[in-house]
Amino acid sequence: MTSLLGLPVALFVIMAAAGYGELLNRLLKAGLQVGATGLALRIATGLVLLGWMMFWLLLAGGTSALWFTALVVPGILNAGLQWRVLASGIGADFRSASPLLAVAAVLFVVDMLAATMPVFDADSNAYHFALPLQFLARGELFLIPRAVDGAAPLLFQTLYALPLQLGGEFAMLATAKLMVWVVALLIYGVARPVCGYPVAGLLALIFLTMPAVIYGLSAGQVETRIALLTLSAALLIWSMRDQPTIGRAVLAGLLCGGIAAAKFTGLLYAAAGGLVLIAVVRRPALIAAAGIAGLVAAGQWYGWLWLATGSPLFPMFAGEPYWDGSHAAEFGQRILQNEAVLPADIIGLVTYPFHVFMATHPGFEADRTGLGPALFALLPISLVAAFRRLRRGAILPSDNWTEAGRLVLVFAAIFVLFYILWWFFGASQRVRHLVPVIPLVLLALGIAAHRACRSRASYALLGAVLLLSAGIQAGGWAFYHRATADYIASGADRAGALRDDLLDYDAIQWMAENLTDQDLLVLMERRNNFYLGQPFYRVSSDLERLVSNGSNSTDPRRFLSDLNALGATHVLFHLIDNPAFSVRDQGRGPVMVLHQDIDSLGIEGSGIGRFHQLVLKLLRDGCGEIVHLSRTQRKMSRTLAQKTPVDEMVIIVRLTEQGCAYPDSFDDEPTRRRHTDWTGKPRLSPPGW
Amino acid sequence: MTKSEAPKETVSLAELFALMAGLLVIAVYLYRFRDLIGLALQLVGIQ
Repeated sequence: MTSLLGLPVALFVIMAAAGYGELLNRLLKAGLQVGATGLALRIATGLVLLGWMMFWLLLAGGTSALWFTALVVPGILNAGLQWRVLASGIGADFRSASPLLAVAAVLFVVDMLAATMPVFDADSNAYHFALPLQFLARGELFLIPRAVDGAAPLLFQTLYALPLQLGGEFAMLATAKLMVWVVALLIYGVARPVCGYPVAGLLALIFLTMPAVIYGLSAGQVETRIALLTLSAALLIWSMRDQPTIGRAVLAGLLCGGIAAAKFTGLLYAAAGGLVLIAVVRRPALIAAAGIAGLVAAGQWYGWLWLATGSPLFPMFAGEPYWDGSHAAEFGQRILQNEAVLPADIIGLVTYPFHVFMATHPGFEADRTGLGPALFALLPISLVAAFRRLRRGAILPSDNWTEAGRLVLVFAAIFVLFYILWWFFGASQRVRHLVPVIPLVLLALGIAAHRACRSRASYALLGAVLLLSAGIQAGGWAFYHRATADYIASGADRAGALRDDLLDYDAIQWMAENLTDQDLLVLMERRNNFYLGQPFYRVSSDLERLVSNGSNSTDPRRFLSDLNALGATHVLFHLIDNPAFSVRDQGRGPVMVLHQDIDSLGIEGSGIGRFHQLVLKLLRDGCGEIVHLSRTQRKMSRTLAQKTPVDEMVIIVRLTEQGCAYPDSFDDEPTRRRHTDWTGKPRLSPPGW
Repeated sequence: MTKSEAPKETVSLAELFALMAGLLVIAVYLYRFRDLIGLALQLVGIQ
């Protein structure tokens, strides 16, 4: 249920971050500037601190609203006490910017309205928003031993738990959106003194309406939020040439550590940022201060993963019980190779931007979640400024560079280093994984292009390029938010929206009425995780190895033993209609009738994989009974109203010992229940709560 | 961080070419995604 309290809660969380950021600024004597840039920098550093504290609180089991309130109140109080500092300069930054503010207000209101809608993004439902829900339901941070979306650094997912607990789903979505708005504020704050408010405003608008950002902003994708930390860190690194203080070094290190605490590829950014920091300051004490701060900010996640899984970089270097060599090979073959469309070589490195611009392969996801036209349109214009500088023979940063020139140089250097590292060591070539560094490129190109235009006429033409880009993207933004308008026009009918668009809606309703926290649902897809009201575990041939590990394991006895070790009681799976089987109601509920050998059913395109076959075998051997049967239709794209042509059966099977051909599989103790158990109560409760 | 040089009266050839290239890039982008844009316009009932 959407609670209107959500928006104030979200604003309080951001305010607390600003308060903590200002506290760090004062304690470290960092001397952060005021105005839009200063406010955004404080919020960014404050979010890293809040996320750091959230890790320890969740780990200790302090997930009650009281603990979370105690966590944010000092930050809010400090923001209240220091409001003059936080608000200082904001008015001057937005003076004469009324048209820009009017556009921003429209975008903001629509965004907040969108936050009242149910979440449908697959990744967000799978883990960005589902993990905080699981931590709160369990009452602590716990290991979900699954690669990619379970055992990983989770800074933003733990931050999402804060508004989710205090204000519900709307508060969480609104907080997630506000974080991205702070990125836009920072882009504007950085660009305005250099380019003036019209170009700065257009750059911020271009960022907010970039297809990849619209996608990330409307969901819980961490990349769009990491962008706040990357831009803040880059800005602090740039500023350290003129203000080489320990305080700034610590803040830059904290931000780089925060990026590494948010995603494994954040380590690549930390490396790129670190190298540029060394080039900028060249003072061991400052570099060491930044390094130690980075270790403190990120170290807890990697240490925890190390202790919990045996590897700080799970699944790399991990061993049993959660991973092994053969599993790593399958993971590399099926997951990593799928993600790598182009070979990770020099030619790929150079040609990738062209591939992305032309969206040459669906694997790049460069059309509906691509980068838009602005970056590519700004490139030739910014090159004019670069060639002019080359012609003057002034290349080294010490050669009479302006502050703006150095800013472009630092941003471009961090971006290029990160891009090279990401290309050779990153796991995915989806372009949205570059979103964290897109503000750096956008600002570097925007500022360089602005400086390239020396006449009023060329400045006007640059304005036309930016306006056209922003206009095209705004069209995409408006189209995307058609769903928001429909939702609001329907009277914010949440149940109706879920009924229309949520896969397995009927099954989820049935489970809400019939399953409890004592049950454990095993499923093969992850896109409904956020809407499951009871403990669950997703089996996968590639991402986890606790259930029927090994691609050739088709033994139902072992499958059932592994399910029982997890404490599983039910299995949910989908089947596409197939002449090889039928489901009949013989008076005692639906029964699966098989007309073909199960092992012969795993044909490409049949929708039947190894785990489907194993569940069918359990049904065949009397170890499970169908307790729910419904139908659902898969949506390929809600925005483009694309559905799959066929609907599917949704089947929930209850595991039963009575009548099972191998009852001894039920004898095993649920030794792995610790990965699936929801106590429903915070472990660390204050007396009387 | 302000721009120090005074604006010039005329557009240099390099600037003009670069700006035209920028506009061309936008045109290519629109052409590349014409199907997607067409589908979107169709869904909102404009086309």
